Amino acid sequence: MVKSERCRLVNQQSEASVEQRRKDLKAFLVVRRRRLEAEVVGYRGRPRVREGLSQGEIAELAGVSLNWYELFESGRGDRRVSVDFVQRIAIALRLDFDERLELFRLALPEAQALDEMRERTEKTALSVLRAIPGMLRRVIVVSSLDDMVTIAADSMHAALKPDYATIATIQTDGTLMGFAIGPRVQTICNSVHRMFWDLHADLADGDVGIVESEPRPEVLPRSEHNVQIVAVADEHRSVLKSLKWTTDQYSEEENEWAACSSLAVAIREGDALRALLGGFWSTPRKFSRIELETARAIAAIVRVVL
Amino acid sequence: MLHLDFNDRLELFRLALPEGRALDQIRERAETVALAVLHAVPVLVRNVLSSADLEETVRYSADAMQTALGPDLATVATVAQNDTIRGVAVGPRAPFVSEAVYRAFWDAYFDLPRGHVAIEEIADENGGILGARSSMTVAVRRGDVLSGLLGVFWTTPRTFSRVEQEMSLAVAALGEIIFSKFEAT
Repeated sequence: MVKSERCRLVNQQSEASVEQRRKDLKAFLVVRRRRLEAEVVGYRGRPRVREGLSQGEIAELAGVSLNWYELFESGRGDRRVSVDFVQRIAIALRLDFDERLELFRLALPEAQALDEMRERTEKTALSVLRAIPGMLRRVIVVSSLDDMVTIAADSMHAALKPDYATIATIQTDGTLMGFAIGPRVQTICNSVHRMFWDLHADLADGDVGIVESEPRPEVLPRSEHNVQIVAVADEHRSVLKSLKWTTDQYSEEENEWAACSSLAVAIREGDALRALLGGFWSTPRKFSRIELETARAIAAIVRVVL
Repeated sequence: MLHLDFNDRLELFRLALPEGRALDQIRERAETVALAVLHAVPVLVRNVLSSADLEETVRYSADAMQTALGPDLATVATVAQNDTIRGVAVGPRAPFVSEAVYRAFWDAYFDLPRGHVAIEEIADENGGILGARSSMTVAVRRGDVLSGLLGVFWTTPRTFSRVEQEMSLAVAALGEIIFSKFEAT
């Protein structure tokens, strides 16, 4: 998939979710407005054609303009409202605490961001929990490291869903062998496995090596890059390797390697590095603790079975 | 007027408003549970693969659930072997779990299908098994036959997150794999 298509896809997804949120906000506000009893909030003696309060009455109670309230209730995504505005509406609608949380989630980007963080955390944890029994079922019936690491790469891919690829590189009798899975698998040649191996050769068991790099052009044949690999051990981060390298160092074929960020774990037997597992993304990203722990857990299971 | 960027606004929202704090706590709880679960799973796999018999495996499974989910009453695991119901309990109230409790637990969830999580919230203030006000149980089956049950019990009514439910199902699935290992040997 070329970059523009990928961007379009992302935009379509976010437009769909914005549209859904808009509908949910509108439905939420209409239901709460209509359940209010006019007498209870102080509007007496006015003839009523429908249940609940009108948009104008809610605007009046909240001390905001009718025009703003109408726009807000229509869920117009291009109108940014303040926290204060949403609080006033929540008070006017007499919402309880859980309802206020729901209104904040639907109306405020800050609350949406927190909610999305929670959702991402849950999704990753669910993916890995679903992948692990299947992984174990397969891993305990194979005996070679190659098979185990390949199965682990499958599980890592299922759990973390990197948009570029998941790579497993294994050393057997001094020779590197590789396995890759994912949308950009066609760009992964032998030189990529060698590069992956060289860059992470010092990664300790139990640490996660991460690259959270800057954006790069889509295709980078034979150019120079600055790479900093950071080793993460629990909460502690240290630079594992900081270097300048060119794809020329590795390319005997036309290299279209274009991953931007990665996460890798090592599998060692004693001191010897036997295999590396890595997830690669096409965009720069920050890795969450859940993602790091997922990679660590998958590597730990392979080590246990070994 | 402070000119804050989005991250600053997010921070202010989290710190200054009860709603922001509540949403942040929900996010944090999800993360804490997920991390605890991810820490527990490799340990469980290592333990069950090295365990010498079924009873040890059952204990390790119960330990993993207790460590990951931290129920304030107990984690109870029962297993049927040669027509006998045996059980293991870990957690603060484990010493009070008797043979009768194992039997009652078995009878209560005998029909629970594979892949399902039974969630119970008990309105009665005396509670249910062990005086629990809420519990979550999964079944380990060999084919159609129930071979084990795993339950976590709390003293207070609570909701169970999807991660907590999935952890229980994952442990049950690992249990089935290990049961088949013991059958094969």
